[in-house]
Amino acid sequence: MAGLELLSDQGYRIDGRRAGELRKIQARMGVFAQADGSAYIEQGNTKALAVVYGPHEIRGSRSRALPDRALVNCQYSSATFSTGERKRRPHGDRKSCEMGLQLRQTFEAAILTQLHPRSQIDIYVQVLQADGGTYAACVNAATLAVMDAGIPMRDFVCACSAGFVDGTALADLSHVEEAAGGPQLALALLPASGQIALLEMDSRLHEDHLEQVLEAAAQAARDVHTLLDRVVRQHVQEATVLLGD
Amino acid sequence: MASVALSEAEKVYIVHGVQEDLRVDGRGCEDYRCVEVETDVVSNTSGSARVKLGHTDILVGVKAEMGTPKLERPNEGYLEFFVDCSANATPEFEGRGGDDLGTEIANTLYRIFNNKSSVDLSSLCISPREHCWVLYVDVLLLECGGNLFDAISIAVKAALFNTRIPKVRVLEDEEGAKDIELSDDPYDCIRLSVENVPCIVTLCKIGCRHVVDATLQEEACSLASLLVSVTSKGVVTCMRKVGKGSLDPESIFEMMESSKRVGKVLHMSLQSILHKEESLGPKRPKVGFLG
Repeated sequence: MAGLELLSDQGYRIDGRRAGELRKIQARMGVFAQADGSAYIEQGNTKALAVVYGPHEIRGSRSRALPDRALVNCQYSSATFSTGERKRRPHGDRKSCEMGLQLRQTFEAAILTQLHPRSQIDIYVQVLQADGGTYAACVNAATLAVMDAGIPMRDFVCACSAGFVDGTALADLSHVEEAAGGPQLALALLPASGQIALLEMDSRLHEDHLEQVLEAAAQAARDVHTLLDRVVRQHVQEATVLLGD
Repeated sequence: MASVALSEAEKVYIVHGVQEDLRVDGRGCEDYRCVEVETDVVSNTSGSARVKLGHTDILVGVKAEMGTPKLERPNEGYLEFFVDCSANATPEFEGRGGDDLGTEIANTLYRIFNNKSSVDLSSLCISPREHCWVLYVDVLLLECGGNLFDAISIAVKAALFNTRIPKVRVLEDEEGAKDIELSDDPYDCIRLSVENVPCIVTLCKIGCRHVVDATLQEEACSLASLLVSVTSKGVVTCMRKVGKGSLDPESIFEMMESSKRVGKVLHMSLQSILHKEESLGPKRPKVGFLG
């Protein structure tokens, strides 16, 4: 792939987007009837499913129960056919465990766990197709699933990735842009207060550029929030129509 | 397997209803629930299919990769099955919890395909003893609403129908070194014939009658089931009894006749749906999980 320009002179990326433009996002809540809450999101070619069970009694050892708040348990799993090269194990490897821990950290910051002491909330995320920005898609899907389950949260959790090429910050990286090896930032934001739930950066980035990249990711996360808000309102409207006046 | 707790009264209600050929949702003993099949759901696979049978949701992806043929069959490619019981279906499948069920289903799939006629494996051979196509069939169990084996076999058949394997040519130069060349046109590919691919029909024995396509509640009332793998012509490729109860021989013969009847109808409807979907061409609207 020598000579593949991530950002052309006219300011277009490989898939024709502008630097700060997001991929097409489509989402749906209530995909599965048997789970407490579920959601599906498509961000460009990245597809993720999230399912929430809870709050319910702690499974396994009772000693893990926290006396004043709920335990949030996350598992990240990506299907063996999700990547270009076939993956051998869907979950249990280091990357999936790390992603699970990051999701747990993100949602412990957002869910009002004090309302459900001594109980457990399970969030299971499944990536069906991975084309970059899998962490962001998982967080967005999980937010919708937690809302579908009716678990109270402080705010939406919206996530987006960002990179830096040729002096410009790019928002919502695709797989090709991630594989090119430049700096990548993953940001999970609570939009109303502007608080950051998770911030992770890979590779080298000069500190002078950090603010620009952070602002690009934050703006993209706020755009995602607008879309997710619309999806939730539409879902509630459909549900109330079905219930009748 | 994900199960549901039923009271004795509920079990008696279901058993009595089945004796009268009337199930809880109004079906007869040999009726399937409404099946939704969609192919080409995941784009970076060679073929994929999603099947929704009541509350059971299955996603199958087929990836074709080049490998070496097995020693005892040098002129054929082969299929590898992997079943992932995702924690989405039930929290019991978290971590390694779903491995047992996954291995059981994968072994059943190996057995039903373990015969000469199901899939034409010699069409997967590129050059004997050196290169062949290996089809990795990966099954993802997303929601468990009873009757897993049937839904999985329908999804595998649909995914194999949808599989497009690129055409390759083997070039040999003067020193004898072989080079494999992929054709330039991305739409130039070979398709598999799924005429003889079998589907599993599960018959659960409830009381003294048997039912097809049991829900979770009905599975909780049945002590023994018979899994029969039938092709579209009514040929049985594999048969297995599961469950902790026992079956007497007459009921096994009855169940087998029943499964052949039901299997033929199932294959016919599946073929017609797949051909109808194919005839809509590449412009058909893809729904996936958004619909």
